[in-house]
Amino acid sequence: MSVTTDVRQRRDVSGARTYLGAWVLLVALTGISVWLLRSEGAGASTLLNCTILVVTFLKIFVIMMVFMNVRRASATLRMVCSTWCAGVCAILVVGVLVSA
Amino acid sequence: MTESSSAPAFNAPAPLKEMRPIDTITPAPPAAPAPPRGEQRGHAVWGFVLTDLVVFGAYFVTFLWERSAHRSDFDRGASDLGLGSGLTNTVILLTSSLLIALAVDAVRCQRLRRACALALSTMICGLAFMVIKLLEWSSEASLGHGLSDGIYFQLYYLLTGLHFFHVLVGMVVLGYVVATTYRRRALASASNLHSIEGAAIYWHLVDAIWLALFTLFYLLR
Repeated sequence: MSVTTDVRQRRDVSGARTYLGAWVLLVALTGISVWLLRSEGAGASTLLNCTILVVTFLKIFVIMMVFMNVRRASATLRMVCSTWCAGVCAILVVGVLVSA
Repeated sequence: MTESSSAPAFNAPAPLKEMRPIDTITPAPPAAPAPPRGEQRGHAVWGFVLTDLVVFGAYFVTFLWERSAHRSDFDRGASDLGLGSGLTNTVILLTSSLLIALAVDAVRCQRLRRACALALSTMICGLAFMVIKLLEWSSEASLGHGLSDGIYFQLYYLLTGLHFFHVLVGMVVLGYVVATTYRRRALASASNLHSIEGAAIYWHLVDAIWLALFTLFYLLR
């Protein structure tokens, strides 16, 4: 195998930029959630609570797809992980709406 | 009494014409090859991860159920809990997830020394998380927010304690993986990759669960 091919393959395998991008997105979304909560004050609205929950499960979805490499896994595993995120998020949002 | 001539004699050998020559016997089809050990280990890790997700999903729903029944208790508990330590721990765990993902990447590129250094950095993040969590627990307990201080703090100690245990297990697993990878660094074997991938998937699970706990206990008002 030539050196050029080897380097190209290493670049294909490496996902450092993707991981770094995902980390920046996750930290930014966490910061936005906290900023929204602080700007709203003590009695946060139901809409804000629902938004924060959706953002949280979006972050979990990003962790699964990027960090856990589920995006490159089998279709079954992708479906199970996506269903878990969507299902639990939906139940919690409904719970917040009902208890409001 | 005479035997019938058509009945076969007891223990008589089978007629030769019914026996098949050896060269016409078709060999049994080969058994399906067992999946490689690394793949089997991967299935086991994912089985554990999915089970854990279901269990924690049930806990999250329980939290919301209790919140709707004891709304004032939960509002008081969330306002008493300091947001700073929770936020710091979230950033620490997110950073640790980045580091262990980069460690897996390094193993794929056969850079095992770098992988060990990144995995060790992940462990340092895990240790920082545990120290902050212990300080937070002792601070809350000193303020009188113990297990007897309502359902909110009971769930807080139960779920964060369960998560703390997961972090502890993750630290042990990472320590073992770093030690074995460092010992086999000259081999650059596929086993290194499978070991560190499994540990990383578990660590990301710990991170994902914490994100949900942080929102439920610290952010919902």
